[in-house]
Amino acid sequence: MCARNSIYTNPKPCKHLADYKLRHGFNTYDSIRNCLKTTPNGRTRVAKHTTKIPRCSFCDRYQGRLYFCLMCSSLWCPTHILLHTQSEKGHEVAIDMNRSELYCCLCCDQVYDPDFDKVVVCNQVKDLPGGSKSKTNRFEASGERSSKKKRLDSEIGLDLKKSKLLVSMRDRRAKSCYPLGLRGLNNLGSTCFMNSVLQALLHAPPLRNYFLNDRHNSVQCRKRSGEKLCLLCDVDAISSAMFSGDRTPYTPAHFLYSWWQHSSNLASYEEQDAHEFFISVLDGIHEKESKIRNSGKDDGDCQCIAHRAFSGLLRSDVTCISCGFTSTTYDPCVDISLNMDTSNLSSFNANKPIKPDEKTSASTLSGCLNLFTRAERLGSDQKLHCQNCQELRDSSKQLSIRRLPLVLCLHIKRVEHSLVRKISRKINQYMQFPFSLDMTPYLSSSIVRGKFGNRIFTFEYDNSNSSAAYEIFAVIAHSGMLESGHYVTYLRLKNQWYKCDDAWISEVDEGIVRASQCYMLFYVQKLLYNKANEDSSFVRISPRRDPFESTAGCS
Amino acid sequence: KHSVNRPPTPDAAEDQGNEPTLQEIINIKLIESGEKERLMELLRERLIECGWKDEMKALCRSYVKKKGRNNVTVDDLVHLITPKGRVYAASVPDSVKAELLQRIRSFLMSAAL
Repeated sequence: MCARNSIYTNPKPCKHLADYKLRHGFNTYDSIRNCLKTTPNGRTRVAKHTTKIPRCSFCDRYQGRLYFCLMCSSLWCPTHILLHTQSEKGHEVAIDMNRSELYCCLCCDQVYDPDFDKVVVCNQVKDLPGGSKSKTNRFEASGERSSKKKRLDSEIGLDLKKSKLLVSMRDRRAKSCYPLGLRGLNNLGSTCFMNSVLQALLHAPPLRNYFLNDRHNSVQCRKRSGEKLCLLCDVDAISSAMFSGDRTPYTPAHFLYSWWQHSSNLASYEEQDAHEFFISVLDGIHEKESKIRNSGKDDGDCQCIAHRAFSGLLRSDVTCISCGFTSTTYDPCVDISLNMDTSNLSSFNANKPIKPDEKTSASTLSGCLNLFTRAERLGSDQKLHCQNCQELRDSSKQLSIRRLPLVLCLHIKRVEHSLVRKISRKINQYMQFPFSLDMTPYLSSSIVRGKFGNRIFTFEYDNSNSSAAYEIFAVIAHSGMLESGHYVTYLRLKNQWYKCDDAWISEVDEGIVRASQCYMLFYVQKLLYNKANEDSSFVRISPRRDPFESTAGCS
Repeated sequence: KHSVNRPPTPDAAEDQGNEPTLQEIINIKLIESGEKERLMELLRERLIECGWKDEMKALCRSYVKKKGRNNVTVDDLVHLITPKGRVYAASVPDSVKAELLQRIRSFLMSAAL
């Protein structure tokens, strides 16, 4: 921090400014007195040309810094002002138009003069609301200086009080209750499945950024495709509405209509499955993109936003039990559907009633993932042709994740079908899931390596580019029965959980989220999550500077 | 008012002709309506709130410390932090970008461009 007294010590003027002042005396700053304009925000600008846009006299630039020559009122950008000084003798001092600060063209540096600052401040104070509106408040000959100074001091006092008031008002305004982008969605008739998925999608960092950065331009899209219906345009519209700052619940009617056109088989007022809807939306987005780009690329390499965010690669190893020969295939996926690791399944299928005192181990996400990547012995009715043995053999199949997506969507299959009773039932069992997830054990590199025991040497794809650490950001929970139930979405923004129940948004404790019946879990790569949730919620109050505080030196 | 010895107008201006570009038209409308001033002020506030300005200040301070207070000009500092500012723009929260985009969009719609 700088020493206390240096705030009021002005640096000495440069040689050029000193000479300039000597030459012009009290008229030094007369030329700009009439050109100073106070903006509504209280800044003072030099505004001589009220009709034209100020431009550099040499290169016509209108952006960036512009300097106003005190002698001849011509305008120059920093690059070319030296040309002016070199060609015109005596035109050495200029003013930065936007900041109202002095600039010495020969030193190429900012310079300071208390007399100049007084002129600026006078003008500013005069224009402050409640201050003296008298246009005759000018600095006159030295004789009247002392009385003017007294008046000025009292007006400066007024200014300080005003700036303090402005500071506290700004503080109140900045304290918004909810983060930007949080907005309820109206239910249009059993459309909670749609609302819940939309909330999760729109807050997935890659998609949120995609729409915020205006990567899908509706106008261009309409021009290009000529079609009136584009799911991406509709999602973009919803995203804009969500981030508009308006907190009243939004009605995504247009989107629903578009989606009905796309998935006409699902167009009804019945409750639909959220996961099915999720897949169909991604499909709709992909379809549109691939039409535009005319690419025949498969899902794995597709660059549409849906795939860029959600697409991963699954590896499937089928091993012949007899000879050990393994055939490997890769399939792209946009999500992973997991069966629940619960022991209730067997009793349901065997038509046995569940004993009330039967101990059921808690279902966990890692348990489900382990189940997913476990080597599964295929039944003898599913013999596969082994290339080595040249005949049908019993096989085992094992899945693993070859490439993780940016956004990992885990779908918990809460339906079980009984072949015996020929009915389906919803599994209401609670499943425990973490907020921070490490997917390393489920990667192909880990699974395949595990097949060889503990080995030290590196496998072909041990060094994966993308990290396996994920953070949860959305949970879609289902409550109720299979045919009639209700979906809500829990969103995690800046480490605070919010419940999005159609039009109603509320802050909830993380315990509520953990206890909910999760149906779809959305994780995003930790690096993206951290970036998206940088804490900018605190407001640093920047008080208006004391007008007499020196602009030079430390502050 | 211009010096007789003023160098000839650069070619770029001649190529453009007298037709203002869309960017220029938008800029003119923004300035005329006073919206540009409001947007600049809003951006200033937000950049302070998110700490971007402090980061730039810290950069300048360390540079000045290194070179010595009397050996640094405004132009030096501008040339120093202009590229850095672009890099640090990535640390500006998306909510700031969203807010400004929203404002600009509303303005463009209301100005019927």
